[in-house]
Amino acid sequence: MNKLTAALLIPAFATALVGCSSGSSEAPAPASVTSRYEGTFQNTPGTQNGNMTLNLSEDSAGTVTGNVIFTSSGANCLRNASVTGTTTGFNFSLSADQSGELFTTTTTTVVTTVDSSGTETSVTESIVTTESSAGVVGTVRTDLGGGRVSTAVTTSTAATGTLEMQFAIGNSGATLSGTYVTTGDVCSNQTGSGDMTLNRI
Amino acid sequence: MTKKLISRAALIRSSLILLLTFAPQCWGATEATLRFALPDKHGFPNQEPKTHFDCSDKIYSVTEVSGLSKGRHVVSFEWIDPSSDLRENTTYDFYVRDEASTKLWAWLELSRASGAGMLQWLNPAAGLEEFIGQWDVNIIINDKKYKSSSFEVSC
Repeated sequence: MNKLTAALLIPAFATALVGCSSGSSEAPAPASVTSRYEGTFQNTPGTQNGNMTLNLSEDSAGTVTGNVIFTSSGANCLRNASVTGTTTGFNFSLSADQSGELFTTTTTTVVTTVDSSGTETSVTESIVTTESSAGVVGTVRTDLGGGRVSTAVTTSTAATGTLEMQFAIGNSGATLSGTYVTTGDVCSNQTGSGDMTLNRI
Repeated sequence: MTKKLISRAALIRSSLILLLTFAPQCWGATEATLRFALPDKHGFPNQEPKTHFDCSDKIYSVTEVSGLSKGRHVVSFEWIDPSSDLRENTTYDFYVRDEASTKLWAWLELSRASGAGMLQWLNPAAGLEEFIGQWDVNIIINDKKYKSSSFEVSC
């Protein structure tokens, strides 16, 4: 078969195939969220992220109960909790009480240099503040070498508030994607909102 | 006597007309809006309404319903294709829990006929011809049609 014949035959064959079949459409109804979901959260400034698990049970009236578990490699102001919520079609609202201790750690790094006359000069290189739902109150001093010393001071306060999550139910209940925001003083304005994406397992 | 009866009947009829005209507003008559949109990154419908879609788009019909009593209701989104056939029907139960309006949506996705991918470079609408044109959507709540609107699909 030469190239010209092939060039003519392929579209002809494709046309014949298309002629024998028709396109399809899909418009499914929402599915129940009764399941275990695993995924990730990421706050808006990108300073807190990690993995999360939702264990959910939905009744026939669209009322949802369960729990949320967070795992994070760094500081994270969200805490494990029971959850309650409702579904309305593809829209899923979920709420969790976040009351508890909020640990605030301020880490100050100071660089000290000594000049030829033996005079010491100290300059604050950075000050970083993080918030976490877990921690130990106290002061930790770390010698970083080269005249750099970091001092982390952790304090705790009693915080009250809620975590409000809003998901779109996708792929016949296989995915939950949405946003979260905390109310009260469980997180600061800078850390208490972001995105969540989960898959049914 | 007959005159009295006629005037009484007229009074009752007028009262009924007035009652039927204004009472539903006082009782909070059910109202529904309908718009079409693309999804955002999470799968929620975008705020920006659209009436023209590409054949590869995920097309959202969004309704906001107010005036329904608290409790269980049923919504149906009827997707009528350009041939005026009922192509899809998305029906589900929902619950009204407070006085605020309830936002509901459904989405439609179109797929090419098998084998049409090869012809796509010649004709972007290949295998989707039956879906090109005007689609109508009906919003039916508790078996009563509340709203209809249409959008266009092209490739």
